[in-house]
Amino acid sequence: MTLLEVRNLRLRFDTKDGPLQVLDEISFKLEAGETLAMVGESGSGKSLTALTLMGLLPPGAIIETGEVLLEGRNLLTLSARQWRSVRGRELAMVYQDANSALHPLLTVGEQLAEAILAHRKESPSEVRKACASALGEVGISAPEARLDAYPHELSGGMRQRVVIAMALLARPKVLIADEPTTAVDVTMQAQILELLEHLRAKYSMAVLLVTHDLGVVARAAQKVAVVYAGRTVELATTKELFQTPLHPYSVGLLRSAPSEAAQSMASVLAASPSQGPTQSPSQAPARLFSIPGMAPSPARMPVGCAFHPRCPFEVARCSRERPELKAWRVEVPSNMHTGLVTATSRRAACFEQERVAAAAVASRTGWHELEQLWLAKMEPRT
Amino acid sequence: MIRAALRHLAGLVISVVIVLAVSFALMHAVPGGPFDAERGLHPEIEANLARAYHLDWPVWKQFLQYIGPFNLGPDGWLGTGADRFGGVLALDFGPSLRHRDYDVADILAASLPVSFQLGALALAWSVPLGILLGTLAAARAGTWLDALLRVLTTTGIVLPGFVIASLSLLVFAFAWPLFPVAGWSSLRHMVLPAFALGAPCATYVARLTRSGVLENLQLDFVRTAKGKGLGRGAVIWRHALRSALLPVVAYLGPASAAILTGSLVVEKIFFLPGAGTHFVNSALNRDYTLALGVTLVYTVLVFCLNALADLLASFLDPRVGGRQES
Repeated sequence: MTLLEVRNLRLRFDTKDGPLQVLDEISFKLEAGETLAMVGESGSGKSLTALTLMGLLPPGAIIETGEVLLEGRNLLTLSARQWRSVRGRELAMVYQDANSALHPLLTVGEQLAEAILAHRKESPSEVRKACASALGEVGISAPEARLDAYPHELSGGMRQRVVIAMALLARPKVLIADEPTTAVDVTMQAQILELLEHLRAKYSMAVLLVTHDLGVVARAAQKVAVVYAGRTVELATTKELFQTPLHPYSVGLLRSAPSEAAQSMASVLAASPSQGPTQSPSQAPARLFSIPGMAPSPARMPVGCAFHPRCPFEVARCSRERPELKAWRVEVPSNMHTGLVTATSRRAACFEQERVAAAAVASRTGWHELEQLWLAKMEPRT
Repeated sequence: MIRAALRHLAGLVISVVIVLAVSFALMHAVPGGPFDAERGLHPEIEANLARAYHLDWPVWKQFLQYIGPFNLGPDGWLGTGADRFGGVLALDFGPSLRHRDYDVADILAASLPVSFQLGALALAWSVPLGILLGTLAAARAGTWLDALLRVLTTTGIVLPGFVIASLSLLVFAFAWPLFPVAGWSSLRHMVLPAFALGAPCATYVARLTRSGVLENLQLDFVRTAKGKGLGRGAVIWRHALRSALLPVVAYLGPASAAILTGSLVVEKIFFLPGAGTHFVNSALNRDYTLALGVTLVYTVLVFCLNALADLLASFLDPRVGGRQES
């Protein structure tokens, strides 16, 4: 059963210079017990989507259309009072920057206690016990003593754990983790991801993981929603996405992932990527690919497919019509077998899915051709 | 803690010395003297007076005499007991040069309690009310309540004290005689002056609080608080207001020193025997000793109240002072 579904969410800000369309049809489904990663560049609308789910949009944001269904109930029609019982208890959020997400003048214990007391009455001693055990659960040693500490007395990793503990206290059904690993150092990232995975399994929560890091996706998520310019451009399982991306933007993302992600990718893919026969300087192993061009700003969104100015697969149609996010019955070359299989569960917003998939599969024997294609596309512009 | 206290004390001593030296120099640099009058004195009388108060000495010597517990006069450093300058270090501020038969200490002892009581009363109503109204305005930002409060606070800031004092007299003493017009004998006498004295403070605190709360409402930790499912009241009063109080506390240090030492305007209008009057008059009259005494009290008060504000801030904000980073 679908626990949380976002359907065609459109959101804009009205500014002095006219409306800014920041979310333009975000859609995805989150099943109970699974982790869905929402991937995209910064500014693509990932965090705004997360805030919409929590009902924490900044003033001025206008939801034009769309539904956020939590167990069939549309959250966007809730009153302020109803929202209060949803926040924290049904949906809880782990914030990106634990340093600014915690109140500097309140102790950890005071802030944790609120997460419980906002939803049910309990005696102070019980609350304290629950808070201490939540801290223990996220791997903080001497939790009793930490309750009386102020946030600035904790290390960055510990603060992030406190934020996770706070989100868990009211036992939410869905945990929204907004870039939970960006503000902590690399060694801590793996631990935080493991912790989230452990807690997801233990409390059978569903997790929406917002990230720009494909390494994190490969490690932690079963499904992926790729977001570009405020729009879901591809929905797939992690394995499918890493095998045969159907959207050119996904291809570019995978290509531009740094080595750590590439390794995770390699472990997802059975085939080992080998270099093409013609070794060009641009293929030196240390060099990182990046998708040429810039993500469009909401103020100047291209007509048609938002990605077409950067897309090497562009056809005439792309600059006129916008491709729907839909299940194209494409035949994608399977990784496991040599033959073609029909993918029906896949959804991508691209007219040229088959060409993209074919190129992506072909590129496993060397990115070179794909990269050349990309460079050729950008040349007349630069 | 003790180290901090010692550091504060050293700072106090240094600033008192500097303030006294500068004020002393300025007072003596201004033309005219304490015994100038429309009808000139006989030169011999003037010379006698000058001798009695050591005004014939060079300024540096007068300053040392004023500060030090030593007697620099012709009778040796212990003096004969006839000289009335004991020096500030001996807690003797000397005689007033204009109020005959009064020592500066007597004048201060008579007037400061009045100013303190009035100031304390003014602070007691204006600070809590300012915080309350500021938070309300922030919570209802953009509504009619916010607009009304903005008009009120702007009025409170731009209206000079004498206008507020006169208007309140006009309304609450004449048009609608709830309170006595002037005098100083009961709590009822204090109401109108305390209102006039506290009004600017209340409006300023309200504005500080409003902008602080509004600013904090944009911050991530407030979003966290909402994300827990806390109601708007808890978010504003517990999370946003708490950190908005820090600038208010910082403002209150010097502001309360000014209020506690009294205001010339309010005291003149309500005929109060407070210390504010002496601030202005002693300087105008070249009453050197009284002017310096008043300045000294004000300096010490500013210093102590600032230290108190720091202490309060460190209670509010655990990142400041006392607590150790782990």
